[in-house]
Amino acid sequence: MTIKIKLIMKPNHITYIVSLLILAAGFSACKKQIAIDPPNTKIVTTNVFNNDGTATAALLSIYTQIRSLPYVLHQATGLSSDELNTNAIDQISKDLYLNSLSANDATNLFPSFQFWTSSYQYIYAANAVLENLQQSSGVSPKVKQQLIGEAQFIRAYLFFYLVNLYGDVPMATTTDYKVNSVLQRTPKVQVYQQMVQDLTNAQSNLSSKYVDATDTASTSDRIRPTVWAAHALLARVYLFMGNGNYDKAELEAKKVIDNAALFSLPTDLNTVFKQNSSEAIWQIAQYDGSGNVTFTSDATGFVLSAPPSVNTAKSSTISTQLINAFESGDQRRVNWIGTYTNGISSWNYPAKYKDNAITASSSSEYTTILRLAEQYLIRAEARAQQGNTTGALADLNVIRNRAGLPNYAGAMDQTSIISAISHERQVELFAEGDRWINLKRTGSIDAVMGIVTAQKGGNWNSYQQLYPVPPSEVLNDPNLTQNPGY
Amino acid sequence: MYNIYLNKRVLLPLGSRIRKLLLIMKITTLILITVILHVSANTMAQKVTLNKKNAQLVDVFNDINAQTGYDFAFTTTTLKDAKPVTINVRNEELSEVLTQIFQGQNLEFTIENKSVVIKPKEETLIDKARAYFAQITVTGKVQDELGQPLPGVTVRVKGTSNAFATDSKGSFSIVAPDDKAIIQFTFIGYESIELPARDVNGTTITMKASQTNLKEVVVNKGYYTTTQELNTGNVTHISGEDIAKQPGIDPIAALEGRVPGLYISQTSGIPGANETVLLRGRNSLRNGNDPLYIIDGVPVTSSSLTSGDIGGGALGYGGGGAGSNIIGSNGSATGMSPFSTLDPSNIESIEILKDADATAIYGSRGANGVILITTKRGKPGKTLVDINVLQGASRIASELDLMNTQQYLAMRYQALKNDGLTPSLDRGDYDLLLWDTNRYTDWQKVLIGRTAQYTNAVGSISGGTANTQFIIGGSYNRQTTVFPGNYVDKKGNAHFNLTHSSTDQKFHANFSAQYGYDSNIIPQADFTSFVTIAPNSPALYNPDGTLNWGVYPSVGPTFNNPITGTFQTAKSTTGNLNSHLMLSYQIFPGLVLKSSLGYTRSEMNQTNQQPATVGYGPPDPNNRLNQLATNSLNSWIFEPQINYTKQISKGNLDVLLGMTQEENQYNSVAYTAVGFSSDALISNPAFASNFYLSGANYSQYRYAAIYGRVNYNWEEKYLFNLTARRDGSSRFGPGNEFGNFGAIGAGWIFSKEKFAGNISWLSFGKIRASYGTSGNDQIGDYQFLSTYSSGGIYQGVSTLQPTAISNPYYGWEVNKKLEGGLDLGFLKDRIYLTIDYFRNRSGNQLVGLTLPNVTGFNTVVANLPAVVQNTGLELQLNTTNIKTKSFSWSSSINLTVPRNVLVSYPGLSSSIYADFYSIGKPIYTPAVYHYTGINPQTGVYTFQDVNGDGVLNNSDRQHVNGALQKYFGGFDNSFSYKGLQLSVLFQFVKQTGINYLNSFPFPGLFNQNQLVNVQKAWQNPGDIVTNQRYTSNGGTAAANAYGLFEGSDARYTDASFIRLKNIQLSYRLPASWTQKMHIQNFRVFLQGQNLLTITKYEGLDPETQSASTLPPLRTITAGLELGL
Repeated sequence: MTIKIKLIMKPNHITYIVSLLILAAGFSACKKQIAIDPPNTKIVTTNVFNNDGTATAALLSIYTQIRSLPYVLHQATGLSSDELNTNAIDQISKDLYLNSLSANDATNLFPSFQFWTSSYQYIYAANAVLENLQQSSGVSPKVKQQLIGEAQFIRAYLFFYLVNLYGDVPMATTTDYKVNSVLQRTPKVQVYQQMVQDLTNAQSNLSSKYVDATDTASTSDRIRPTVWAAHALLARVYLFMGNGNYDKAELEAKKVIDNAALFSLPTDLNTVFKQNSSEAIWQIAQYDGSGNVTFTSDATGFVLSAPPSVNTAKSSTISTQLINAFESGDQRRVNWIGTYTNGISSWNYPAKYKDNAITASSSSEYTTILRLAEQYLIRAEARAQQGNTTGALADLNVIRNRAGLPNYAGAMDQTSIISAISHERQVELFAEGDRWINLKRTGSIDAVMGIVTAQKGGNWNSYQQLYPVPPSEVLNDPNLTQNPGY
Repeated sequence: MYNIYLNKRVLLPLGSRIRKLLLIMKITTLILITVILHVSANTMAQKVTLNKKNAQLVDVFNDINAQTGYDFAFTTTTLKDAKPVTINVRNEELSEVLTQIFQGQNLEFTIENKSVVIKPKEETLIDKARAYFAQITVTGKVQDELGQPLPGVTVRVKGTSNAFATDSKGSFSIVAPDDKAIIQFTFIGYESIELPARDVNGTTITMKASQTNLKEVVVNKGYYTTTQELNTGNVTHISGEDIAKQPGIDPIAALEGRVPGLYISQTSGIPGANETVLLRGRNSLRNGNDPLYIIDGVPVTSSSLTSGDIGGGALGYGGGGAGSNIIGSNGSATGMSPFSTLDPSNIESIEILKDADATAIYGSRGANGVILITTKRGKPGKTLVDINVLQGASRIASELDLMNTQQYLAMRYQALKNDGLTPSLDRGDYDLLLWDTNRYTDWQKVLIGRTAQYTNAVGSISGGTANTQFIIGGSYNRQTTVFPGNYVDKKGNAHFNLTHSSTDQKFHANFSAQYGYDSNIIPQADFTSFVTIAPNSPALYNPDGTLNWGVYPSVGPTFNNPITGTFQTAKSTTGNLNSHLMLSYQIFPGLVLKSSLGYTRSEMNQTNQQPATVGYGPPDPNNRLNQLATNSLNSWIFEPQINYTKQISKGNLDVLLGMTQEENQYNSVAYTAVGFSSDALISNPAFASNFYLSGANYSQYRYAAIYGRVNYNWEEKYLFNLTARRDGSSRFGPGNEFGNFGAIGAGWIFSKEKFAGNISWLSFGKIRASYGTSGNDQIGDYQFLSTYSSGGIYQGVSTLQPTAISNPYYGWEVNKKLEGGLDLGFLKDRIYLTIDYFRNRSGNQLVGLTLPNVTGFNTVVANLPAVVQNTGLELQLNTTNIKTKSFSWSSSINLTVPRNVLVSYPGLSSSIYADFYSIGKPIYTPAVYHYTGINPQTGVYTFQDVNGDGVLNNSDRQHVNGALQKYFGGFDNSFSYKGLQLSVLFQFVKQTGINYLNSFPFPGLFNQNQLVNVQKAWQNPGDIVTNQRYTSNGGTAAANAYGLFEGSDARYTDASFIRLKNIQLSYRLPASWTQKMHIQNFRVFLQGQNLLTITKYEGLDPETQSASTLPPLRTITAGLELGL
């Protein structure tokens, strides 16, 4: 930059000129004067995706954040359904529990708000990985393939819960805020189709072995999605898509179950949720800031060492409905439910995860997101839906037997078997975020909750089966509407 | 025709030796020429007829020129001191006429070739010799009206640089050329005196304290100063005295109610809290509305340093880095005020620059106005020791009128009855079934009812000679809170200022430095948010002194004990260094080279401690946390400057050219220490078994600019001021870094015109106008860069997560300001009125665009095509109502009538802001439902179904006026009777605000108390009441309706108020007493703040408009001031 100054002074005013020259010289380097170094606490995006190491770091950050979601899901849906009671006295916990949510609850710390905003934040991160890797030439092909596969898998995983908690949702598949900020709700069916597409693509991209941070070398840690995780999640997606997709659900579940070298059901129920258990298809590790494995949110949030709290953490107890759902002799009742007693009263709590700061010095557990038992139950139901009751019962009995229960001995008609499988899901997958969305999938939610909500002391309204969308979202996206009823 | 040769100065200063030589030559030639002149003059026979009374010399010359054709040659400086001419001649000789005209003038003339050349009278050697012998030494004393000696008074021989300051006894001694020489006495705050030397010698001069000499007040416009009289822009000057009247709040908050156009609202009554400052309304739709703050020439950031990663406890989260200037999307900054370490008593003055004329020279940062803070300097004279000590107490000024236990329980039972439910333990109706229904606790008394203590001690030593002055000072301040628990805010401040001028007055240097330290310990949550728990909640402590959790064997704990908040503290220590060096040198008369260098460093260390015993049950070591953060901001600024002044014709030209180079560096690291084996060890992170990083931030900001000012004033009557700046900022992406800004200001002091001379009651009149542009770069650093920052650890890898959505294309926000003003002084300025009209239009709005979270983030920096216009009328009236020898009463009233409108916004209806704004309406007009009353049958709130489709949804919302100020201002009165002084400041605001309902969930909930007037609720069909039916849980029709109600026009209410903001009563001991005690000054005072608020607003405070944050407190202090 240069400046022109008309000299109105006499030429012998040397001082003037010298000073002006100093000024002008100082300013001629203007662009330089405001040039700044990039922040040393941040990396410019193009540099992130020009090598394997940082590209991997960009993807792995999603797991470090996503790990808090499962517990939010387990507790919130547990309260909304018939799995958990609460002793918390805050209004949001009470409204969740009494199925009396209002749109105003969906703010701040409300799990629904957290679930919505977090999910979309991680979807953005996944989309960013997909977009940037597709343009990148600095990342080696194998690494690129694995990372793209994981990003596709994560996107499908998040959309699955978004659709099941909120109904039709905006489907963000790009990082462009101009597009995403005015998205309408995409019909559920289309979102499911996107999940199928993502998971199918992921299957061709993902490694069949668990990989470590190099994205290529295998490891015993089951904390990265593999092709098996993609099959397992796709099996669930097909099951939830229902009619016309049961064969595909069966096929996908079979692929996982048939890989006996990698997956099997441990007989000791207390080892199911351990790190790298043979049942685990995909787990998420919880690390502290120094890279040490720390306690799972489920153990920290559910395990009681005192009567349930009035705050949200350690406030949930197992409901009578769930306790009563266990057949006598069910080892899951014994091993997966803990009891705290103060001598006068006692309280039951979910104890699938046990290690917490009060009882242990370190954790031996990972948060298990996909596990083999669910695949058996998916295949059982898929088979039953297709009329293969024998196959269905075989799968059902694998799960029953592992829990110390005899083979199913009820009515042998299709409806009864499907309902038995549903019941099995209730007791096998409790406090894993399954019950609430399954009641909706099977269409039994109004019948079940009509009774349960009354028992809790509230009144059931069918619209409460969908959580309210955070009101700020409805305000900020002109094309987004609130769920009916709210 | 004829010519009047202006500005014909051919000789230039060539060094003193040459000058001396020339002088000798000139004197010799002069003597010769004078003789010749007399001869030649006689030979002329030009006749002239003139009849002039008090005419300007130039006018007389013009007349003579017209009659004779003789040209006149002179320079304007020559005629500067010329006296007006009265002459009446008929057909007189030109030379005779000229002799008459020049009689008594300090001028002489020569006639050469039909030209009259005019020169200043040169001294002859004889004159000089005579002058030497006529010199006299004048001695005397100066005192004030009370007979107190006045040290530091400037005593000057008029028209010379011969000046001295009176000593500690008020004595002076000065050499005057003769006994007719005029001696001037000037002293800030006193009326100047001019007397001939012979009347001064050996006497005692009494100086009178000056009254409302407003137009003589020197106003600081940052890069230059001017007087209120010659100012072409809009600048409000607030003296340090007024700031110091309001202890307990930071200096910025003390401006509340004193400045037209400035709206300040305190965000909380917690010590150290930040405030929201809006100068002339919100220009930016979404954020970036902070003025630019400058302390002694060094820009300081207005954003809180409080870490965005761990937060500042009850004060909330900071901006996420002061260096990045990010502020909340609602325009309100939270966290610790960056001004909390600034000692109010150290402030000399605060100037508020508002219009384009005053702010354009600040270019990209002046859009929201500029607030200049000037600290105190020493004064010449005896060394003074000033001590000021005060002690006070604060309490909350208002309380919520909450239900008592009977009323609360009745509401709860009714709610359950309405819902068709009976109390049950499953539902958690502990208040009805388990807790003592006869118990009553006034939770406001327990949780926010304490008396906060306030102590302040200030001391300073100042003094100096006429050439060198200094001040050294320090202060200590301690303030506790109204909360239970040991919370305290302690501040220490040291400041220093040194001014030096060389004897020839060519070189000036000023160095100032302040260091402030603040240790602030507050709770992690504001206890005010707990005052609405059930009035029959159990006691805080069990009889054995342990914490009570309301434990019942069957259900476990039932009570969330709020007192556990006292275990969780947020502590921050802030150190603030602000230093500034200014050097200036006058190269030759009129040309001054200046250099300003500033350095500031702020550092904040925070620790938020949470012990394990915050809940019932065995302590969970996982709960033991100590979050620590260190945040620092370093900034330096270098501003070289050239200033040139010159008399051109009858006008004065003032040219300024300068440049700025500035850099800020912000660093913050926050980490969390965990794994403490006991609560007692938490405060020392060394006992933690593990640490992890909660966040690390670094940002750099560079800024470079060139600026200039051209000012020309003609006879101090017609004023022009041109300012311009070209700016470059690192906050903008490639291609968008630079911006040009400029303004023109003009003024006309019409009271100096002839026609105004006859109006005796009009002592001053000025019309001024300005137009110009300024910019806004209040966005974070690096926002144009798409970046990743560090996330958690996974598989041994430190991960990277997207920082934000980036937008590389945004550019400057431009603010166009138009202003017209009128200043009028009546009856010798005893009534002084300033009226301003302004119009600010802000376009290319640079905002943190709010996004739905569907995009992955909730904000992106972008330019909005919207144009926001703020117009307003500002009025300031200062009057001296009564002025007698012993009693005086003066008033000052200011009023602002703001108006805000969204002028245009292409594409608004399809944008995400369609629900917030409406074109042609103020930007505070959200789309809301229209509340239509309670359905008497169902007892539920109803709303207008605008489109009549039977469903209430977004399309039924209409834009209504939201929280908006209609007018606001302050009324200050000051009375003095002898040593007794009383000043009373009222603040008034006419506005709509958000009502209390917004702070409460729907009535009928467990553990949620309500205001007493909520009792008027619907119970049976047909009831006509003000509140809808109670309900005990969400999801019911009433609960949903309440949600809509909170988002309807019913949430807005009249939040106008008149507040007795400040009152001060002081008594100064008479001089006769203090003299006997050998002290300079002794004063005692009593101050009250926020003593009375008249408002219809229901809720804690119409200013904070919240029932869950601590409102501004009522404070009473008493103190004494001692000058030795």
